[in-house]
Amino acid sequence: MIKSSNYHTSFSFLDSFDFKLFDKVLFDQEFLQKERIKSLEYFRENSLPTPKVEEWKYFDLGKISKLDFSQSRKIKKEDKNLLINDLPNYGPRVVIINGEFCSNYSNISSLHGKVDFHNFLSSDMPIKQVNLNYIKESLSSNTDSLKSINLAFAKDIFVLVIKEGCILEQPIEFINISKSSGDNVCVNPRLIIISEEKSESTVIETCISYSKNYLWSNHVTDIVLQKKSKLKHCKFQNEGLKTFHTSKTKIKQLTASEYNYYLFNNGSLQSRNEINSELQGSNSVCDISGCYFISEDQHSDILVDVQHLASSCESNQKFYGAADCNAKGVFQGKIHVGEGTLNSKADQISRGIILSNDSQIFAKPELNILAEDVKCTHGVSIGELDEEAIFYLRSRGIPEKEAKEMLIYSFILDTLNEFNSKNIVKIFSELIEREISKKFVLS
Amino acid sequence: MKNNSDKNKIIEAVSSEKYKYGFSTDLKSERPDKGINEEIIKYISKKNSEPKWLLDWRLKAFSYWKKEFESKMEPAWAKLSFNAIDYQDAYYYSAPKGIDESPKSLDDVDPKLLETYEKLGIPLKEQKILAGVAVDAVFDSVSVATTFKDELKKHGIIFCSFSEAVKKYPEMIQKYLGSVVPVSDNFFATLNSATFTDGSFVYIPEGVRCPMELSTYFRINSAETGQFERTLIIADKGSYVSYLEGCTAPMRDENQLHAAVVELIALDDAEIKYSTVQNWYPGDENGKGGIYNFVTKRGACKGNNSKISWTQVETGSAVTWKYPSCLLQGDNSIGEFYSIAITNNYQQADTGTKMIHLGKNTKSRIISKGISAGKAQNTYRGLVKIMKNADNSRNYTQCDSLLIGDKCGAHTVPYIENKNFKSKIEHEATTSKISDEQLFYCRQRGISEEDAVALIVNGFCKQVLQELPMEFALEAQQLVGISLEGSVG
Repeated sequence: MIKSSNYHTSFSFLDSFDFKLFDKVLFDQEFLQKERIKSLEYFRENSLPTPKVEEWKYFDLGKISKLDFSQSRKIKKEDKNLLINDLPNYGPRVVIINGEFCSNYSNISSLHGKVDFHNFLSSDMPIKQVNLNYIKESLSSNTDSLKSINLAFAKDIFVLVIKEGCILEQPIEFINISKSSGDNVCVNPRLIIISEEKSESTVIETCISYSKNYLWSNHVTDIVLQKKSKLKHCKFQNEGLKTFHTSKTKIKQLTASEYNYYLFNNGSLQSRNEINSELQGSNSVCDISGCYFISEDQHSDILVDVQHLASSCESNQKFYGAADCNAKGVFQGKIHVGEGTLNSKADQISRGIILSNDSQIFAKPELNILAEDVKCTHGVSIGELDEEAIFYLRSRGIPEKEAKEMLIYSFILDTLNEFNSKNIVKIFSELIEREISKKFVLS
Repeated sequence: MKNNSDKNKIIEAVSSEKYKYGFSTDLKSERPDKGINEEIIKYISKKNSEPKWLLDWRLKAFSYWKKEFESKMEPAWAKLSFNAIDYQDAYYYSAPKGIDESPKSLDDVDPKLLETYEKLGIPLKEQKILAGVAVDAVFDSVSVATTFKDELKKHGIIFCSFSEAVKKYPEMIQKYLGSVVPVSDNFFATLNSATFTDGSFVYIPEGVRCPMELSTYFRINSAETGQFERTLIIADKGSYVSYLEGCTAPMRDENQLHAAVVELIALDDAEIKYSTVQNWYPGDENGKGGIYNFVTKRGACKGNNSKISWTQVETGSAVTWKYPSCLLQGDNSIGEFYSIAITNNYQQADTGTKMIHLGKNTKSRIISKGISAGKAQNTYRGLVKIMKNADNSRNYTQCDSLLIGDKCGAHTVPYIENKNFKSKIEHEATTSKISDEQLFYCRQRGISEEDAVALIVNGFCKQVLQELPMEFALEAQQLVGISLEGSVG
């Protein structure tokens, strides 16, 4: 019996559960099978939450629940070529189309020795016991509807291990392409990143979609940062306007680890990005920032939850966005400081610019402090572009549209200020500049 | 700096600070059986000689409440944990015996009652009043006295108990009762609508500036009794009123329920300033006893250029659930909320405000200071909502929390919703302990540690304290001192 606070759904992909999918993998098949079945059952019993559930207050899964989604079909090679040829290439990359690994287009093997990449369906490399434990933890079923669908219907499971002490200069790119041609399709990519001790690396996730019909890409990414490791993790979400994007990223940080996250949310009809970081080891640093550009009927919901569970940790959250036409932008940020922790420092800021009379921006910055020795702040500002600044630029002969673009660009660029990587700042500042003129009407 | 054990001792010392209003008055009281049902509601209505429409209104509220109760719709979203309230295990009406006829003058009031208020520092005998504050004293379920009535009458101001207003000014009550907080608003407001026993009513006529502060003093005396009062204030065009509210209760081992509703209505160019010093019994240092305070307060700035300002100092109650709000309906209207919430021992407070901007050029300002000590939990929960047509509206919110001791919690849960692109919202919040540098600075100048803490906490609260009317500012400052004196090591 589905609770009254949940939606009833009738997705046809639920009937195409593949019992034998991971039969031949090296990983503990019995465990995986059990967890997948448990996840399927959980979803059948609970379906999707409605806005009555507090954390879904600003994001309505109603539209998704009313549609029917099937599993994706195999894509022809020629079509794949077409999909991939236009994409920029920043370095070693993994291409995933509709949740399946495309080895032909991926060149991760160039990092052999520094990085291990496993995909459950075809990889036969052994995995260290300690990493196996993390993987098992990630693949355990739980009481979350979206994670349950993902685990039950992921077509493959990807594991990226950055080896102990390895310092990678070039970013590793994960390109997630979703495509539907006939039916509405639900895609469930699942990625696990393990950053071993003292390793340093950068991962860029790109999400793109091509679809005539509705597409639902439902991502789950689990990340572990072992002692003294550093990971820069960026995501460029640029899916089409027929795509629903839901994503859950969970980070576990051990002692003295450093995690930097940057999200540029530009696409999808409705997108929900959840980032949940647990600072389990002392002296860890977690920096989560990003921006969103939304227009037309887009809805972007970003939910960040940073949990200080150990002493002397530092966290920052910074999200800026601009909303035009009928768009709706939401930022929900949470800082939790656990009992008994000392010397915690946490800051959070979110700012939004409303560009049209029908767009709206909401924020819910939450502090949940159970320890005394803390310094926590949060700030929010939501408003229109500064008229005086526009006047200043216009009085110097700059046309209105250009003036507004300049102001939005400089406003958003602030989110990249503290990102400690010239390469990433360059990539994303160019992307941001390009998208502003494409996205907003501004006249 | 003192070490941790010293610090604990100080916290303990503060925690054991006696609640000075904890006495009870030995008065014979009249009350019907425990529990809530239609009969009790009819009894209350009959006691107050109410017209039929009001009884029907109450019964409608009761049927709503019953439905909500049966479908377990008691609000559970607040960060509060307490034992479930047994609504059938409390008295819903209690009046000092012999108060059937409301006293014509203070000479008719039971001297014991007057003595109680003297003890509380609320002199009801007019000749003794120096500050010139008109007081309506509510004792358990009934209003026992209202002072300065004649003086106020000269200005056309109505200030009386709610039950008296129902008899004398029924049209006004019928027009405005439930217009800001409707019967079905929320679980506790609905319960209050069914069972409210008395309260205060204020009407300020057009263009009148109320010459003195008006005040209601609420006192729960009887054991196992809930207090459900209702306050309705109407400020007609161009008028001004400053209203104060104070509350205390005896120390008892059981938890007593207080569920009040306050409705404010400000018409064109009117201003209402509503200040509260809430000092219900907070329970003992082990969290036993104390008042459960579930209050719905809402003001409607109905007219253009109207203003409603809420100021509250919340130091009492075991559990506080309270969100004084403003509906900014008129163009250019202003809403303000200034709050200090202090929790100690096992107290829990979930309090904040709602500012709903509907009219154009509306402004709101929220300043909230939360102080949490002992094992207490203190939450600020607020909503700022600018609707689509509220052009050029503005909100500024600041909520700061101070933590004293490592067993308490401070939480901030603001909801910020902007649907208008010509409007601006700014929100900022901080949470920290009293900084060692600040303490050191004071100590260096020869100020004792306790005084230094008092100084810093007072500074922390200053923005709110200065908003209080003179009469309350002193009491509030003392309360802040009592609650937190020397609690940091």
